[in-house]
Amino acid sequence: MDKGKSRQYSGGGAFGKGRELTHLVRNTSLNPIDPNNNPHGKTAMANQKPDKKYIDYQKAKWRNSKVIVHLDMDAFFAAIEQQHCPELKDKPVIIGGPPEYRGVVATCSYEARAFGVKSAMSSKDAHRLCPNGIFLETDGAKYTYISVQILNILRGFSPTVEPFSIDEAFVDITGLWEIYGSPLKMVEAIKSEIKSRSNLTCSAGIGPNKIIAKMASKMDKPNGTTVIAPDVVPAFLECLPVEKIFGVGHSTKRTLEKLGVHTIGQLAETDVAVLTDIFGVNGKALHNIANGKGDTNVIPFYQRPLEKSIGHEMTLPRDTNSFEVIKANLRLLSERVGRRMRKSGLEAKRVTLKFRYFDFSTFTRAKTLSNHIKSDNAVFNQALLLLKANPIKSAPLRLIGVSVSRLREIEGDNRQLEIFDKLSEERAAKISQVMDKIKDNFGDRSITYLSTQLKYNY
Amino acid sequence: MEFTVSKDDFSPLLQKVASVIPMRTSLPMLYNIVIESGKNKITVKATDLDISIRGECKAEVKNKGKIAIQGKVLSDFIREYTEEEINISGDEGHIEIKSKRGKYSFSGVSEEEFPKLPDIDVKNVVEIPGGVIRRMVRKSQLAVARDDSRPALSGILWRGKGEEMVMVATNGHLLSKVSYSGFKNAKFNFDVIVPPKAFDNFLKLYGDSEDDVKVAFSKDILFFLLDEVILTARLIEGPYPNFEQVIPTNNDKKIIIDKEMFLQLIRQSSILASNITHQIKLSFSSLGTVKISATNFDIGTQAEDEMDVDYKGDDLEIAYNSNYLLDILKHIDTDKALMELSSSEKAGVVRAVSYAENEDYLYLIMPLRLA
Repeated sequence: MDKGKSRQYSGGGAFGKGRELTHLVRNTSLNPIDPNNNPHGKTAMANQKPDKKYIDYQKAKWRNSKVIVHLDMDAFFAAIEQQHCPELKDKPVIIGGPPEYRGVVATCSYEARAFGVKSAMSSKDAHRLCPNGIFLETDGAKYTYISVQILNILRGFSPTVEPFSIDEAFVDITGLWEIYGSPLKMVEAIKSEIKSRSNLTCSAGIGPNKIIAKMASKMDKPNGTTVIAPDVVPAFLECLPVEKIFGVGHSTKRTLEKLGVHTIGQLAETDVAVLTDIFGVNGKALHNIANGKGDTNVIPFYQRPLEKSIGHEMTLPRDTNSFEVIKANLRLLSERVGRRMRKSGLEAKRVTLKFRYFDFSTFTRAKTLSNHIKSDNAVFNQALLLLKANPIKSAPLRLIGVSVSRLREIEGDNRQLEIFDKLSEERAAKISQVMDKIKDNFGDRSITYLSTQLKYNY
Repeated sequence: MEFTVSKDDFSPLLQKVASVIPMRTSLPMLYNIVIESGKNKITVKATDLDISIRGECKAEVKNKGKIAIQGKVLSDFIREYTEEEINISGDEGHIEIKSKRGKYSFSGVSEEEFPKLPDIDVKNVVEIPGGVIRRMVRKSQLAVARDDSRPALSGILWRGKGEEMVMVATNGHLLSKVSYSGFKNAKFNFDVIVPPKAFDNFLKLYGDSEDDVKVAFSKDILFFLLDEVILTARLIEGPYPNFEQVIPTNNDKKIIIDKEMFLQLIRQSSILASNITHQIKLSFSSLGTVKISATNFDIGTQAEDEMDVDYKGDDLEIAYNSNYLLDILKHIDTDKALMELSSSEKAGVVRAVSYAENEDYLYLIMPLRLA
């Protein structure tokens, strides 16, 4: 049974620690919640008589506001693997590179989190914290497949769904929630649908804009729902530390601290001019966010602006200056970049090669071409030319990356016939497209270039 | 170092050498020109790493020395300088030019930082009339690939065999082949891919002359040994695609067409063509006409025109990128052009109806697939 929880902050009074769940729930969802969806709701609701006036007031809270939901899948990769392989259930599953090699944790199950394992920590550290952890390599194709399924579920609820990453999405439910009675009830229905169709749980945040919704979904993980109605936004934000704002990292935080700004409440009261002086346009944006004003524009996939660049990079399992190994890895990266580019229906005019030496000194070299390219081969050849033009120092490389930019939608068939058909980009693109089809049917690892197999050839 | 040199010798030399200095570079050393005073002469050199120019002129040398000086500044200054005798003195860090009543100084840097230029290797010297090189380059370079996604195609193939010389360029859609034969008693034997920039620089130095020019080849460097200066160019690595086998030899549809009129109709129709494909459609009819048509659906334009041609074969519809066709026709020297075609998806050949003695050139053009 789903252990769904929901939380809603009441107006008046700062958001503090030990807030009672029942109290929060009582304030919001007054219509009886389907007990299958929300057992907490049920207990909280038990003694509550529906109060017509109050319901109207609740509705009124959202009446003139956008209602944006942020959904964040719980331990997405790990949960999928546990789903896929029941023996992994209730075990500490860690998704990421194996600890023998230089890898990082992409995500881990909640059982592993109990040991202190976190995303982005090195696999070595994770192994030390959780020696019995089960390490699995990421299987992007599998996760993408599930991700697409979940997005389709979301599109059944609202036409305005914006995928934000493989395991996060924004949904605009403005107006639509009235069918369900309240935003919370609609979100509970969404979560229950996801649970029943994929057996995965997610955490949700409901707010008047994307930023608030995203912050809200973080408040109660896993499988929680946090509602921040427009009238409680100031109270919600007031005491939160500034780094909870999406995009505020170490350096912004340090700069703000120098100004004596530690909480979002303090940020809200800071003069905009001071912020714009320091952060430029971002200063204004920060100030807006702190004051509860944020982007409400959920961009559905069909309106998504073109991507600016598509890239892949990898830290090599070991530092190397072997040209063969680097070339093999470039092949692999180019293949991934090419496939993603074609999946998005794009072709590129610029190729960038990134390389980092063992001492972390990092360089990028780029080349703009006269024609757009879309084949793996063309991406690879350009990356290789860039590599050759910048001969590897005797120092070993730690990381390499390939990206393409100056993208545009593929413009029909190129009808210019080629003199040297064997060398032509058109032919190379056809080969790539055939490989794409094979991968679509049999998985991303079903076919690759033979030369990529030299990638571990130390 | 200290030397005295005449402006008439020094200024033209500096202009020539400085012409290779790059406009922009990530290696600031390349903005310099290196001056070295030796026994009764000075040598001057500059490079952009791919191409280098060096030369010498006689001078009255008091002290030997070397220095690297901002090249454009020095050559611009010397060009404007009014005194006939130029006295230059200096040390490792700067030079000075003293006029009758004034003083001009330039700071410089040590010459040791300057990239080493390739050694002159003149074992395989051939003498070629420069005017022939000029005409061959002008005729062939239009087909050079502008991007270097296939490095070999970004150069001009220059092949000399026995008494014949060939230049070929292609961007994969268009191919030019120019040949000259009849170099009496020549024993050419070279096969190199030359960056067009090298020929550009050579032609700038060589001007309108028709004199013979000495050319030498080493493994990866090409040398032009001119009267005052030596130009070196790094060659492009091959292999060059096998162009011989792609040039059709038995295209049966032969069309003779008035070049100027054809050129003009294509030029004006192409303005109404798609600005992505630049497609222009040619419909040759057995009645001896060609219909020229173009459409741009984006802006709603349509062109259709017709002219008489000398053609008796079957009807044929074929589409080309109009830019390529225009480029080719501009390089046909005769009043009429000869097109040799086979089908709407096969390579066509465009050539002149007659040639000067020993000269031959043709252009291969690939069509656009008709939608």
